[in-house]
Amino acid sequence: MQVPKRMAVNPVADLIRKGNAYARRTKYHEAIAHYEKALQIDPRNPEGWCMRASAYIETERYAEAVADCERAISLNQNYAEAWSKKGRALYQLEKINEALAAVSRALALNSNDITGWYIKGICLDELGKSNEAQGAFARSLELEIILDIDTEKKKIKK
Amino acid sequence: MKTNMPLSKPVRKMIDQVEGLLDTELLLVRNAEGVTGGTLIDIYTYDVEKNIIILPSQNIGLLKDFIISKHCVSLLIRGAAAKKSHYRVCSFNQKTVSKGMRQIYIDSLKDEAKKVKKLPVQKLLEMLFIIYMQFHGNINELPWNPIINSRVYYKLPQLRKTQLYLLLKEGKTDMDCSMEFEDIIPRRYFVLDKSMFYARDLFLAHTLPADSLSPLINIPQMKKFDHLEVKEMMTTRWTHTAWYQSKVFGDTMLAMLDKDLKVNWNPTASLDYYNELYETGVKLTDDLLGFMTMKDWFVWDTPRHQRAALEKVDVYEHAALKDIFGDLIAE
Repeated sequence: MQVPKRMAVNPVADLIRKGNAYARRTKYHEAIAHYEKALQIDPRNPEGWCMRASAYIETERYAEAVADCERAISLNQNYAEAWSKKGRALYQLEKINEALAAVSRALALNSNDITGWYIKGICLDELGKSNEAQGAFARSLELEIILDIDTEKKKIKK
Repeated sequence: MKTNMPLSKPVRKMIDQVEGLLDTELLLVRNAEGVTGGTLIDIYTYDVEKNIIILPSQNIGLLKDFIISKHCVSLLIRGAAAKKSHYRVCSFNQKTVSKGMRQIYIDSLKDEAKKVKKLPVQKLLEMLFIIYMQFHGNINELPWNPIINSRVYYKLPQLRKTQLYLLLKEGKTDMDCSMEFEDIIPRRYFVLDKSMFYARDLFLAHTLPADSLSPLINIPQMKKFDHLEVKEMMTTRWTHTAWYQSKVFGDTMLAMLDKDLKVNWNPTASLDYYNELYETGVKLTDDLLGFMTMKDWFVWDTPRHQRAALEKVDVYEHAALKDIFGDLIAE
């Protein structure tokens, strides 16, 4: 027997997906509302916390973003994106040492994180470690160029 | 500065300098539809209240920083010109459009006479204004490009690798642009268009200095001219190709760039300095227009004049066609 389509939908994943669609269109308040609904249904969903943190960052609610990232990390210690966003939010709060620690952890989990390397470069530069900063910036640039070339290729294909 | 984007230290300093020198605020905005290279909408050129740089969403790190820096220099040049002297742009009016389109028409006829497959009349008429506006865009952008890039190169050495990548990309795009119309565009305009970009790229290649920027290495159609002996280049085989002609015209334009752009690229920033860069750009624009015999195609006027002209393009195009073809053009 086939499961009816309506029953097959995971409401939490669906709400997060809708939230992401709003976020892509820079409608962050609507995105946050959808993530919140998802988290009410399943507060143990790390993605929900991480995505809401991302929307908080875009709306400059950095302290709340850090708190959400920490919730996500408490549910999944190896959640690279949550570590990366935590680093980004901490940087905005000018907690440079903590930001550096968070992005370093993110990069240990995912070495292809462009923003992670970039934030690491900025933090190292702020701390006066300009040689190390150049290394982080170089890696960020390398990855960003690969992404840029891919994006251009997709545009040509379209 | 209004943004929630993380920015590297030299770029933050650059933005502070813009806001300090021009006593203005700069807004940075990300947009998924943002064009490659970003867009600057400034209070000196457009009828807006705030200076805005729109960045493509996919540029999140140093690529974004370079785009911001480039537009910051552009903003400083425009702002300094507005504050220190008279900020003018290469605008157009009904008379200049007529002159330009008439010249393009005459050159088209020369080309069409040699063609086996002629361009339909309606297409030919449409092409005149398109080519005119293409050069309007080029002449308002191209002379400033080497000035801005040279300044960023010296002012922000941390971004040099990023700059090199984006310049290579830009050079290839500009040289590839309108290739599918090579057989339609009158040869003279195809060659002049390509020559301008060729000269810009070669100027940047030795000013920055970055050998890898050279169009002779990167542009497939020009590769054959790299290290080619003069004697070989003078053979009919080469002299008849548009790309050979682009190189010849481009080399002359490069000499103009070399002559006009003898500038100290790295002094302390001041409004006087950026105004000097503006004057340099105006001189280079005039020299290039003179070389291309397009001096009466455009007119230096206020940005407001240009905005008004851009709203009347349909009227100008039609009036120019009437001027050239008389009653053959319907009302």
